[in-house]
Amino acid sequence: MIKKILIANRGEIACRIHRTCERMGIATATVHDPADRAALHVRTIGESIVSKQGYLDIEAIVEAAKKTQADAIHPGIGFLSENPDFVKAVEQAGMIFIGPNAETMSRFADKASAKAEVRKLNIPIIKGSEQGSSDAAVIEVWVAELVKDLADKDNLTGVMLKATAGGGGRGIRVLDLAGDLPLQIESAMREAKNAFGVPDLLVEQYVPAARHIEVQLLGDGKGNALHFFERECSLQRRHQKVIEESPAIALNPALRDKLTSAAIEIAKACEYRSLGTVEFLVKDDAFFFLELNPRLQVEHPVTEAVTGFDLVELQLRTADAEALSVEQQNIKISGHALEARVYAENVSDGFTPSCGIVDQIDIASDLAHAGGVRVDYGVSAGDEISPFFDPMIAKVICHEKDREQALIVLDTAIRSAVVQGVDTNLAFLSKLLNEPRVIDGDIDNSFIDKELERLTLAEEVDTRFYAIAGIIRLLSDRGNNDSHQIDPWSRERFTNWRMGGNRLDNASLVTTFTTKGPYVISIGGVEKTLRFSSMDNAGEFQVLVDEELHSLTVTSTNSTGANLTTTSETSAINRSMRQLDAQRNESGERPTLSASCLVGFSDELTLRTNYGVSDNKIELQTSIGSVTANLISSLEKKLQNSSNKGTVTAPVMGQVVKVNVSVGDKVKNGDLIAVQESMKMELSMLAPCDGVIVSLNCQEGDMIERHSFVAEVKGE
Amino acid sequence: MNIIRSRLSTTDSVFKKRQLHYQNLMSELRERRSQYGQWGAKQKTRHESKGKLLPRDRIELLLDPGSPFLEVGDLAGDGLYEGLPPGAGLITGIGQVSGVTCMIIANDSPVKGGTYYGMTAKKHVRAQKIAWEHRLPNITLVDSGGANLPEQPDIFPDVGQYGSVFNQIVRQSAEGIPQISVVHGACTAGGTYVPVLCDVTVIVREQGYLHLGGPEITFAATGEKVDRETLGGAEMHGSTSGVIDYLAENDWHALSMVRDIVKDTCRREKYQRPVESPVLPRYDPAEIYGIVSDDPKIPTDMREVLARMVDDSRFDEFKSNYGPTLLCGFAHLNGFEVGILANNGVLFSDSSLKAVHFIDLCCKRNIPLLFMADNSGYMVGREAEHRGISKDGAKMVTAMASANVPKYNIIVGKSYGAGHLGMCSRPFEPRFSFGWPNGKSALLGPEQAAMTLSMVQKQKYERDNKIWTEEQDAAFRKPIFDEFEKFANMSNYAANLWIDSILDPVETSDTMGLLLDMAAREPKKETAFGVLRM
Repeated sequence: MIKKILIANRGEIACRIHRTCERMGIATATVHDPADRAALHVRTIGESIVSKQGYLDIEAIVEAAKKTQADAIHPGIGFLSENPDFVKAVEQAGMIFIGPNAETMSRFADKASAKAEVRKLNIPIIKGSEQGSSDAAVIEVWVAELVKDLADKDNLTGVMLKATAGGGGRGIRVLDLAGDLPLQIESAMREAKNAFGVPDLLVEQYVPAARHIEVQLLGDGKGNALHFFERECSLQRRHQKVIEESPAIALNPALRDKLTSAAIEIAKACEYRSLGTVEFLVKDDAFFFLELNPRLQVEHPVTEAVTGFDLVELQLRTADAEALSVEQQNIKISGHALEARVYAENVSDGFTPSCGIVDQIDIASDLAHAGGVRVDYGVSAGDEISPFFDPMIAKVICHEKDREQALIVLDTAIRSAVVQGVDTNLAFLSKLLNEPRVIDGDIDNSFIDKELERLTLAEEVDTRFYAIAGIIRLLSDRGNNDSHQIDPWSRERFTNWRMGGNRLDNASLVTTFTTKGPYVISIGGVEKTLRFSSMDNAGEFQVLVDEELHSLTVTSTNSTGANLTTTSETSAINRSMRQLDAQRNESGERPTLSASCLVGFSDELTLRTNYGVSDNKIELQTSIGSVTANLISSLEKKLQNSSNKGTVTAPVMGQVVKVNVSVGDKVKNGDLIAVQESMKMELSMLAPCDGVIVSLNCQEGDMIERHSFVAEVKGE
Repeated sequence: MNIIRSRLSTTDSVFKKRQLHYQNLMSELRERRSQYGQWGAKQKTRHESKGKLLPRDRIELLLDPGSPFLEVGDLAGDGLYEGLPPGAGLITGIGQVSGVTCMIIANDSPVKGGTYYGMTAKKHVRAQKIAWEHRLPNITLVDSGGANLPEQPDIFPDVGQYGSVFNQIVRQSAEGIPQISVVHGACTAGGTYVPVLCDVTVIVREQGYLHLGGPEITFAATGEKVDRETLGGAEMHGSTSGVIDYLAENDWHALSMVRDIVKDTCRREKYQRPVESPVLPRYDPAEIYGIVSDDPKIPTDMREVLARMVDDSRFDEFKSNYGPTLLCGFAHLNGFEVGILANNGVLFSDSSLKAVHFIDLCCKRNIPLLFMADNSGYMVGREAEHRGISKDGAKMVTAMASANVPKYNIIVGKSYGAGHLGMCSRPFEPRFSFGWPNGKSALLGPEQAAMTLSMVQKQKYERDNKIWTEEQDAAFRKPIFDEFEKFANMSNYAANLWIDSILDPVETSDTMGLLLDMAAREPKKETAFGVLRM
């Protein structure tokens, strides 16, 4: 009887496992990396042992389980969840490992051996090398052989390299066959080594424009297995799942039978224990085995939604009783479920992780009454997104009677989400959910990559957002002293006060002799200059966004709309800002002010706006959209333009894995300066202009902050 | 609770007539101010094409975002010089930089190269004096061709002219009032001293130059051939001569340096006087337009005006039934307590004595004084003289002149002769002196002036046994009437800097709020009265 489980993971999945344990009356404990001392999972679970080497230290984690008197370990997703040595260590310590046994895991952990297993069962697999290798020359030969083989059959759809130890879509690289092969192989091996500890790569045919469909399994370890139907995860960006759903969009009953039968066959053949997922690539009526994931999947909630089962509960019961507690005939699908992964990332900057403090996070709390939306949070307000761990901050799952409705509800949830402090992919997700081909279900696993440029193209932002961001910033800048409620120099009513009035419209432009404004605001990379009038007797401001004039009023409210303005003229914006000013941290940064206000445009719309204001960012969430506005003071703007031209800075916080130049080297615009790794991704820093490297400020192995100085190229 | 109960009807014809009259005055004022914006498109473009910011944009970017800017002397020189817009080529005003209230003085270089006319010098000195009295840091944005040579008599020899600019920089610096300057353009000869005398000076690279004699003068005087950059460029002054403290890349950079300098070295004092939360008046200030009399013979009801100016329309009137032609009382303007003396007719002995008592009270209680002038002078005539009006008027002048609390003067209507002086006008150095658009001030009214001079003329004719006809009299009076009428106009006062600017009645309370805030941060200064003739 399992009484206490050590959850050897972090983030949303650790919290999600804990929720089921709590409901089942099973005690939990967890472990944490020193950097995660106060992370969400530690706070939620409440009992945690530090693992100085992080979540991959088998010895420390088994020790932690002993210390906390756990009788089972749940590995979660990623980290040690697919490591047979870990399974062995847990079992040798006399504890239950919640997952497959070490032997199954060994057989399926490596992609090459997994393929070999499945080939024996006559389940279709993708053409390619039968094993992996860490010898670049060997890989090059395999690539050449495969290219020739496919070309002979007039089926050269492409070739890819896969890390044998990879999983979850990581460690896959489609080769540019016309490009420098050794360089691509070297880079893929480095990524594999960094991400999974082994550089071994497998060579496979790349089947483009296919669907990714996977079958959820549960086995008792004695040859009995159940399936929970399928999930479709065709919406992927560079092999990373973005949106998942169940059931699959267009799967005929015959093919569904084939897939589920194949999955069951595999499970039975290896006497599979616990939860697992068999992934297939489906192209028209053909399907190919991809891999078996011997663990819980990130996207398991969509299956839970449509089948009504708590998969973790079943997993725990199976581990405890060594028997299946459900019968296949009782597993049925109803309705349609969709999941979107919300990441802290800069979409416009190549989906690089957006590190920093999450100041506020609230997704779909106002949709909770609808009952169809589930949010699994990975962070809560105040948590930090660090470059060390996955930047996923939440999963939003919605379950409706059909796909059409589910898409609408999910989009509503995404659009109303409030996340402040870091950049997110929310707008990207919403755009995706509104794509005609996504709505029609006409998608494959290359859809996002093919359409990426269009999907991430900065949309022309309604200039009203500039006006709102500007006025909120202006009012928050005003309340910077103790007596601002009585001090006329700081009072809101005296904002931009000028003798004779200060209006921006042509009718009385006569009193505004200036042509410059205090701020330049950038939204989605588009900069506009802002100018402000004084406040008129009705409390209205005029805001000139470049040449476009808006007239608006601002009233403070709380997030549900209750009025917070206590005097007739002073909105609460500057009040709260002053309190935050006193809380600047050691590096002088002001915490983000998160609040709400009602913005009324004189001509039409009144909008409740949730906003976050920090030193150089204004985040806005309204029912007509959300934006992150970057603020540049007009003075700084001009300074930036006059310097910085040849300066190379780090795109993210992370480790420098390669430095390609030395001081004195001549470089051309676009030449590689250095490579940085963050979130298991390599990012290249390139020369911004032709010239000579006059200064270099990093070495391989250095951990550097985002935007920190890397090198300077002096033009000739 | 001393709330003024208004008896005004906003629908009657008198109100409508006065309102219309005032609205015309207001559009004249707006028209006058608009001249600045309409002036010199070509000059402004040329200025900007050199990569420089327009002087007003320099101020806009120097100020904290959203800071009020209380411009002083914006109408100086209006109509006095051919081809100059109002302002006399200098922009002076009070605004906040890095949270500190500062006096900003900027040469308006597109206007005749920012050269100094008589009124330019006077305006510069006036702005410095305001800064001095309120202990505001001076930020001088220098971009000037120096003295305008033909203006020599008005800028060179006397006190209150260009030399006083130097004197005031030094005296203020000695008192610890920060003097900060930026050299945005060329500074030659005397002009060099303005930035160089300051505590801290920033210069803009390849744009700011400082030399006692430019390349031409150097060549003429010594035969030495030298270019401007070598002679007095920013780089040279930053490294070789050591004349300059900070080197900026451009105007923007220089202004951000000034913001940092202010942030690091200047501070704003805390309130020394209690301040209440501001409350709006209970009646609409815009109704003042319909209250102010449009006929010099009919007085304005000042209680109705105050009901639309002071916080919560609360006026704690002092001796309301004694000397009723001068209203005295305590009120708040935007939260700041102030003692108001407002004319409500001619000044008599009793009203003068009431003023003395009231001023004494305010000095003891450390309450600033606001004089709102609307009178045609002290009462004349046998009865008044017998009662000693000159003695009582003198006591009022003595009390007013002696008072060391901050004093403010607003010409809200007529302000003639000794009555003008008694209400703390410019010669008594109030902190600020303003006029409302309908204000009139002169030695005496145009009618009285014409009458007095015609009487003198008539007497002369009679001495010579000549006949002074009605027609002659009318023709004689007309130009005198016109001249006095024109002289008395507030736009004439503003152009000559006899007042600091013309105020819209509606914005008076806000302007006073900004000024009283500065006064409320000063320590109390004791008053010693001059001899009061009993």
